[in-house]
Parts: sequence; structure tokens; C-alpha cells
Amino acid sequence: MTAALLSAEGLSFGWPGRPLFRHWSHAFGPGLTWVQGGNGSGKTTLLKLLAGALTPAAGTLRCRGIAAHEAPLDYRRQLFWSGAEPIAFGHLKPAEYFDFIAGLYPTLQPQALPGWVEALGLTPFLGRRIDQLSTGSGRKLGLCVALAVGTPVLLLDEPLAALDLRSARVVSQALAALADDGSRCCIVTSHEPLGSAEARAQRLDLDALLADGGYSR
Amino acid sequence: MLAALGWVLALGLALALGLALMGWTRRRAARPARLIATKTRPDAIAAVRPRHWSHALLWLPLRRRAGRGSALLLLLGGAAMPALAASPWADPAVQGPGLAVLALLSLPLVALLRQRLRQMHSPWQAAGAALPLAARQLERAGAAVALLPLLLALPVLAVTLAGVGARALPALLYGLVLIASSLIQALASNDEAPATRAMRWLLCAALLCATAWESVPA
Repeated sequence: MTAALLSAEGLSFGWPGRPLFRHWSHAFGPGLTWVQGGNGSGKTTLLKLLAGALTPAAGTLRCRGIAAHEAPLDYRRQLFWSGAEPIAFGHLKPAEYFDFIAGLYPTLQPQALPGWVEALGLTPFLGRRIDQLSTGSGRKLGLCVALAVGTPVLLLDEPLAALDLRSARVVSQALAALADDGSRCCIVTSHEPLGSAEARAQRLDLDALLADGGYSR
Repeated sequence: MLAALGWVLALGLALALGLALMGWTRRRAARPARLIATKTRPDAIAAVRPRHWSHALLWLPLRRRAGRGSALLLLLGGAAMPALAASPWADPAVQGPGLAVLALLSLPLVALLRQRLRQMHSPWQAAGAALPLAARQLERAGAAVALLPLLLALPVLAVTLAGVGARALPALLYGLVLIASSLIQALASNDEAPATRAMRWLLCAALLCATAWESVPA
């Protein structure tokens, strides 16, 4: 039995008029976890809760023993969330964004970045500001950072959406490598097949957990 | 008379500089966005170096479109506030009004800068909720930036008040009220009730005007 890197204990959260999680507990171990569910099932909400971007009504989130409510900054330093939305810091150029993230995450591996930038075909766009990038290029930029950031936990929301075939293959291979990594935990939501990573991923089906309009376990 | 002319000249120069900078920034912003990168530099990311978040969320936006309004206000305020702080040198007749105008300009300037910086930061605060970056840090940094024009004016004001032989106690009171009221303005919550805000403004304005007039020798 491997120790959990990230755990939710008695998590409760809901949107107005729509309870989602009721005293929900789950432990995420090393490797790849694929969160599945239909549209609106709460996959993105779950990732945002785990990332610390949303505050649960009740319950405790712990990452490597650090409780989110006790030391929020230390907790968030343990994980990196790459959302499906465009990167908000549109005024920055990619290199400036990397510098910014490197300042926040001491674990970032700068030497890994050029490789991911090249593999995802971002090199021609390095001179542009983030708000001048296309949706796909913006996603690739977020993924480059996510794959190089080196945090123990990665939270990737629809990482394959809006990517070209070549880049999707690169990301699938990266996910497969993360699935075999015994020291890191990667939680992914995706409607797309995960390719080579699929067979190695543990699945968490939110639709199967649904009971009385909310998830509880 | 000569001092008054010098002061008017300095004020005029400061205004002209501010207007020229405003025009230059507008012309620069009106250029079409460069969508095609002329030169790609893969080496640009080879030298990633950790930078403090204030570089990305404060310094760079002020130099770019995201914080253009705030930067212009900072420039104008940074020019006007020290000029007004030096105004008592010009003519004994304008010493009291000069100090009062400085104080009365300080409050709306800090309020406006604070509001603009909050507007600039609000989307980043939401996005930064998942980053190891406390929203309080951004708030404090915004407050510090909003106080910059006043911080520039304070040394000038201290030298001026000493130079014109201002009355010590009222001048000290004036300075303290000016700093305190601007500080409260910079740190005031966005959700403050309008009535409370209006009351605070009136009280500060009355105190500042009274101490300004009392500071200068009759």
C-alpha cells in the first residue's frame, strides 16, 4: 500500500442549489488518476477544490501531510493546476511567465522547459504575449509549465483539448511517464482518450459515485 | 516674485512632461498588435530565472497596456505632488492654499490609483487562487504603489516646511494627518459603505485644510 500524496477527508462543497460533494473522502496515491464523468458532473470543480482555488464548505485537504486550511501557500506549492481556461496573465510573454512561475515554485526545472517547448511546437510563438496566442498555443504553454514544474502533485483539466495530433501524442506520452512515476501524483480530467497512458491510469468515475444529487463516500 | 515664477515654471514643465508621456503612451498603444513574431528565440527560455511575482504582476503591467492608466496617473501624480509640496517657496501668500491643495489632491489621487490597481489585479487574484500567492500580498503591493506619489512629495514637503519657517506643531500635525489619511485611503476596503467613506473624506479634508493654514506663519 503506497502512501497517499493528496487526500480529501470529509469534503463538502456545492454550488447554490446544487450540492456536489458531501463528506467525500478519497486518497490519491502516486501515478495517474483519470477523473471521468459527463459534462457538469463536477470534474473541474473537484480539481479546483484540490488545487485550493475553491474553498470547501467542510472537510480537509492534505498534500504530503500539509493541510490546505492550515498552511494554504505551502499546500499550493506542492501542486500545480493547469486549467482549461486561457492563462489569465495575458500581458506576459512566455519567457516572462516561466520566470514568474519559477519564482513561485522552487521545484521548477528550467532545463526541462526548452524540451517541452520544442516538443509541443511552441518555439515560433515565444515572441508573442500570452493574450496573442491561440487557444491551442495557450494550452500548450500551460502544459509546458505543468510538465516542468516538478511539484509532487499535478492537476490537469482536459490537457488534450484544443491540441493538434502531434502535441496530443506528446502529452499522452508524458502522462504515461507520470503514470509510472512512483513519486508523483497526476490527476487528469479528460473526455479524450489518454492514448498510451490510458491502460496505466487509475479511474475515478464521478457518475458512478453520484448518490442523491451529490457524491459521498 | 522670482520664486513664484520659478514655481509656475516648474509646475508647467511637470505638466508638459506628463502630457507628453501620456501622448507617447497613447500613440504606442494605438499601434496594431504584432501578431507575427519577427524573431523567435528558443534561447529566451533557456535562461529562466526565478523572479519575484511583483515583477510580473506589478512592474510589467505598469509598462504595458494592462496598467497604462495606473502608470499615467503615477507619472502625473509623481510630478504634481512634489511640485505642490514645493509651492510654499513661491510666495508667502500661497503657502496655506498650496499645502491645502496638496492634501486635497492626495486623497483622490490615492483613491483613484487604488481603484485602478484593484481593477488591474482582480482577474489575476482569481487566477492566482491556485498559485502559492496570497491575495493579501497583491492588495498590500497595490496600496504601496498608490502611495508612491505621496512618498515622493514627503521629503520635498519636509524641506519646504523647514525652509519657510513653518510652525512646528501644526506642521507636524499636518504631515501626520496627511500620511494617516492617505494610508487609510490606500488600505480601505472596497466594500466600505459610501456613507462611511464620505464621512472619512470630509473629516480628513477639514483636518488637512485647518492644519495647512495653521502651519504657515501669519
